Amino acid sequence: MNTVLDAQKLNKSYTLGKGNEQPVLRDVDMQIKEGEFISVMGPSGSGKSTLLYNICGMDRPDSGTVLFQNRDIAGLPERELSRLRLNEMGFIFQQIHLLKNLSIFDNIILSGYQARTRSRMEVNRRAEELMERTGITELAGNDITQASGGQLQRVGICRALINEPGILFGDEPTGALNSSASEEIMALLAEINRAGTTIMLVTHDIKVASRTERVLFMMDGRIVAEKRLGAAGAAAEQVTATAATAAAAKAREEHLAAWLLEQGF
Amino acid sequence: MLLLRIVRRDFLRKKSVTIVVFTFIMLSALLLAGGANLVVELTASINALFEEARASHFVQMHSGPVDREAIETWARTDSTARELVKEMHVQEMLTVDGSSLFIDGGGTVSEENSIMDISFVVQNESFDWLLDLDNQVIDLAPGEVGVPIYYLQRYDLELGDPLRVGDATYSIAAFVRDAQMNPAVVHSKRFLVHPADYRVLSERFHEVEYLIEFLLNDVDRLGEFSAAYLAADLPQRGPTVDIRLFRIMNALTDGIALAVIILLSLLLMGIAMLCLRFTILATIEEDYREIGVMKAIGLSRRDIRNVYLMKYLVLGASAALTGYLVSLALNPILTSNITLSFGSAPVPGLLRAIPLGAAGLVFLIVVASSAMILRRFHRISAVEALRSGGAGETPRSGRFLPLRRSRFLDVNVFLGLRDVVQRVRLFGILVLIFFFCAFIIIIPVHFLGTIQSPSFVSYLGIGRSDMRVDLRQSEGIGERFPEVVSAIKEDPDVERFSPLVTSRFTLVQENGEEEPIAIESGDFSIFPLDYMHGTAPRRDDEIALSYLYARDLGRDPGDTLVLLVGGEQREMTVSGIYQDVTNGGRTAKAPLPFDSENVLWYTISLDLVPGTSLEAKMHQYSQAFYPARVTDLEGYIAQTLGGTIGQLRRVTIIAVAVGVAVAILITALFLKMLIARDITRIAIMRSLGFSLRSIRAQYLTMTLSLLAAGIAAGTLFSNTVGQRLVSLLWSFMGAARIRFVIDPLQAYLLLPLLLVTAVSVTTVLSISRIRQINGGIQ
Ligand SMILES: Nc1ncnc2c1ncn2[C@@H]1O[C@H](COP(=O)(O)OP(=O)(O)O)[C@@H](O)[C@H]1O
Ligand SMILES: [Mg+2]
Repeated sequence: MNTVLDAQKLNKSYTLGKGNEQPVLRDVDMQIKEGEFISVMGPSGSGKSTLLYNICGMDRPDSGTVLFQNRDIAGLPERELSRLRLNEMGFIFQQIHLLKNLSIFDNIILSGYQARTRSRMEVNRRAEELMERTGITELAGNDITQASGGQLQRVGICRALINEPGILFGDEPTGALNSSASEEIMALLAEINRAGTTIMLVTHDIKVASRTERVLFMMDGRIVAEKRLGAAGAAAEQVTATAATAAAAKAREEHLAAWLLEQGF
Repeated sequence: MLLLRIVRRDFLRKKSVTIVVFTFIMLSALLLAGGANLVVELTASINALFEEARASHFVQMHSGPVDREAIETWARTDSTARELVKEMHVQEMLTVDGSSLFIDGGGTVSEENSIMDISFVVQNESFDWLLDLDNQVIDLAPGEVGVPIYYLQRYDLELGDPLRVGDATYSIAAFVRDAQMNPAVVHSKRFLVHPADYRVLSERFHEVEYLIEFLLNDVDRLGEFSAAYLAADLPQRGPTVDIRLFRIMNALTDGIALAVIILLSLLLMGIAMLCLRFTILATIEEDYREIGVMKAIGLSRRDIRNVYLMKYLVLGASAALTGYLVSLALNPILTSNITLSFGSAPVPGLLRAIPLGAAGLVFLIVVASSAMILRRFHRISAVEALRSGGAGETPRSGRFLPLRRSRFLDVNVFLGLRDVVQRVRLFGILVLIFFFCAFIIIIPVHFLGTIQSPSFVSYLGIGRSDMRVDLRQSEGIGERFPEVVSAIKEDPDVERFSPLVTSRFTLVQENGEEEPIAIESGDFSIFPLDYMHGTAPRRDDEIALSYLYARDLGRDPGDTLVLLVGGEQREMTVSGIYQDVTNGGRTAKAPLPFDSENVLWYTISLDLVPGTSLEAKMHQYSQAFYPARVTDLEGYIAQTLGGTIGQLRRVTIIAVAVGVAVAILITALFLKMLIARDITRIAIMRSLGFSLRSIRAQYLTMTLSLLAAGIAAGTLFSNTVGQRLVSLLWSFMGAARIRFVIDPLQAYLLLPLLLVTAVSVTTVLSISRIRQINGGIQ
């Protein structure tokens, strides 16, 4: 399997006031393989979001390299980075961060129109498809104030996928959702992953992490441990299937929790 | 104190907004105080000059022999004159033709093509003194000459420079302030020499003209005196002028600049008000919750309002005061022309307070309008404020103007435009301000262009022609004129020409009173004039009046008036009204027979056959037609209105600078606020992969489309209402319907481009400040 993303020795610190440097990332190494479904776990403030923003080009690390599709993105100019994010990456956030003054449909097609790789007709068609796949077709013309949190996160996912990115990044995508909505979103992500999209999530929720294939554990700016949980898709799908498989998912979650406890979570 | 702490915190929190509002208030106070100062100085120094010079109240110009005895006898015996005349004298003026006068540093350029009547005189004994730049009565030694300040301005002369008349050279020992003939619009200039030199000169030049001058006991009865003089059989071959005309003429040059400055200050005031309104509303919106809390804990509305009012009180007071202080520093520049023309007179203490009062007025308006806008506090209910936590804009619907319907527009341009349409109320203020900016810039530029264009002659009461030959009344001119006319008639280089003769007639008013009226006669169809109303006079019982004259006489086209023509009363019908700012705005035209005794001056307008050198012809004519003055039209305008144009040019530069500065400041301010408000939105888009450039495109679309709307409205408004405003201004001087001469390249390309560039650069710089991508997201 190809490595989609390879980060080496990432360092990042924030200056708080004069001379008070606070390191947030310390020599972080991580790789993401094509088609993987990976999560980064860790307590709040451990640097998970910072890691995400630094490997996707939204922020620049103080030192270290980030190879995305074998290209070093640390040195890319702003415009190139933007284009990379627009065409090759998708993002979903905890606060879904939709544009308030656009309708739900317009929010989804926005990046598609901006990318200009497809005709607008095609973008519209793809948006309709995605909305159908995520079950929010009827929301198309609505304002974003006229949808629930779970629905909005589906909108966020549709938006992230509009340009068919190779990789999808998520920062606590279920953080603002209740547990059933959260389960649904995870099932959806697993399905998307099975369809070929690489996914990296950042979360502090064990339940969420347990639905992924590989979990990195982060503390104080370092990745301190890694756990492979095996094919996630099957497990996730089972969540919606039967009570028996629900029990299996529960077991997987407990297994992860035990491991995390070992690591000092 | 709590109140002050809140005020201070507010200043610090909104530094840039505060600075911009401060700047606008300061600028409008500065200009208003400067304008007020200009008014005060202008009046004071004209008054002072008239007083120091003991300016004549009534002057009859006369060419031809003068019997001083007869005039003195009349002054002693006539019942009106006896009562009114305080002092009188007759000043002899020696006419020197321009071709023998070399002023330009004594050098090589003669005054051959000057439109001025140049005379040499000696100092008067008891009144109508010619003063130096210190307003002292000039007393010259032999070999010295006093030169009118008109030439000081034209040639940048210095004391000690040589001046040549024929083969005699004089040293410039003084610059002459001449209460009567200072302004460029008065086409006569008096040079001062020592009596000994005057005698020598009068051996070489033989033509003299007389000023029969009177000082009256009661200036208010000037009309009465004038009628009495004209009724008497006294010398009157030449124009009659009086102190009222001197005043108007003197104020003209600076008056126009003054009007523009005051207009500018009012516009800036408007902008300051808009900014104020906008910032106060923004503050209220921001502090909505806080205000709710204050109300909830029982502070009265009045208390809360005072907290905010305090801020604008401090802001308004400091800005107005700063404006006033800066105006003190700038005043010398604005009044430089006044100072030169009239001297700097001590302004009486009380009047000195007027500019300060003007600044105070700005302050009061600021406070009053703040108080008015702050009345909105009443509408904030504590419960509502706490619950909603924001006054909130009207919710913006996403269904409006859907992106999916856009087919061709670039996404960023579309988003920018959509935002403009969605937030019309917010952006309306910006459009209005851009509109003001455009207006501020366009009006003076158009005005300047108009006054500089050759077609401006139509406001000088003359038709458009290549060249003018002027002969004014002097000995033997009655014979000279036909010679000149026939020479021109013979000249194959002349395409067409039109001789016009201005002579004096008597107007008989309804109450039987008679007054002199100068009427130009000839064929008015060759170089036609633009008429405001009606047409040119064609029959010998028709007359056209200048705008101001018609207004004074209360006549409209179709009305009649009675003239004495050849001793008989003739009823004339007013055929038309034209615009004329010369001769105090009071002239008339009628195809009447004239008798050479009453002729004031002769004019021949002519067009040359295409391809003929204007300059060579002018030179040829001024040699051949001595003592005629030969000028081209542009020279005529430049020499007549040169000072006004210069002053206006200065004001125009200020106006353009102010307009652009306001546009820049406002754009920067708005974007700062907009970006602060849109920070999350920008962060979202950037995280999705919109480059900085795309974001910039969105905001450029916004500011430029708003600017375009503002410029379009400003241009439209300037060309209509602005034109009328300028006309209103000029109507006091005789031109009531100014039509702008617009240079399309300048008006529709260069000026908009200037604003577009300023706003674009400001936008780009403002946007480039957003470096952080994820700032609003985490
Ligand atoms: N822009 C910033 N400026 C200063 N400190 C920051 C900034 N962003 C994050 N931090 C700090 O970096 C640390 C890690 O933050 P973050 O990556 O958001 O953690 P996590 O996502 O794991 O909760 C925190 O202590 C946070 O306060
Ligand atoms: Mg985080």
